Amino acid sequence: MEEFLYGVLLTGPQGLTLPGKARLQIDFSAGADSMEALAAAPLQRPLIEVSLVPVTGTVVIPLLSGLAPIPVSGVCYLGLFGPLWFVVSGGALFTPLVMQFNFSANNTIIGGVSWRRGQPLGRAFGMLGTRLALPS
Amino acid sequence: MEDIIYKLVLKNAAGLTLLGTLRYRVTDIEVLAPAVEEDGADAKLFPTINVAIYLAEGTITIPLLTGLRALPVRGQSLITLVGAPVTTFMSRNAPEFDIAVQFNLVDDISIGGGFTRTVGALGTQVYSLLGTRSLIG
Repeated sequence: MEEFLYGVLLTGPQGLTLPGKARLQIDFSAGADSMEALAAAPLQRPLIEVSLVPVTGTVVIPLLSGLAPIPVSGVCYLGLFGPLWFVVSGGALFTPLVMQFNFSANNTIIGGVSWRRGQPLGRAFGMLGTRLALPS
Repeated sequence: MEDIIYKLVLKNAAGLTLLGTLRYRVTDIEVLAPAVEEDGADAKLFPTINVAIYLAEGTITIPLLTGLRALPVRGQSLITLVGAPVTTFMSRNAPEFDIAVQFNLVDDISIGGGFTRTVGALGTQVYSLLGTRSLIG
């Protein structure tokens, strides 16, 4: 089990900026079987094989969802040269949150957050995360 | 395939905000077959899926960084066999503008990701990227 903590900065289309935190645990010891069915027929184009590794954690974005951490879970798409993509989701029925990101340079993560997707108040944010030390 | 155009908002950790435009298209790849070795034992602990590699190329314009020029970028789009994009990387490695952009779909009209620019002595600057789909360039 590896754990990461990031301070994140979300950016809306009009430049609205919201701070938050994301804390994630990656469990390299167990498999995620739900998407196994996707391994399908061969194609005539280059393919790479990607492992699906379970990820759990919490996300706090005070100005969006209050101070309570939102439990999230999802999948890391792990390629041969490292993680390709993280997708985690959580929240309640009418306040769904989806966060997705990749690793970038200088211990940062970059990606996006969709909040209340498909609803009138739903919106998308760009996300920049800076790695923090885990509290001991 | 038609070009896809996004209006961009970039932001770095200090809050500096830049606007820009990304325009790209995804096409079949010719010869980018990766040298895939047999997986080690560790990777087999997990279920795997196969991901197809497509060629992605386009241009990126960020007036405050690059001027009004549309800088060409080129890279790969990884797409699952059910058609869902995993991630798209595009970059340009030129002495004056060593830049890279990476993004995923956030919702139907938005992409989220990052933009990096490497400037010799200054190191790599990282920006988050939010793109909103635009029908006109």
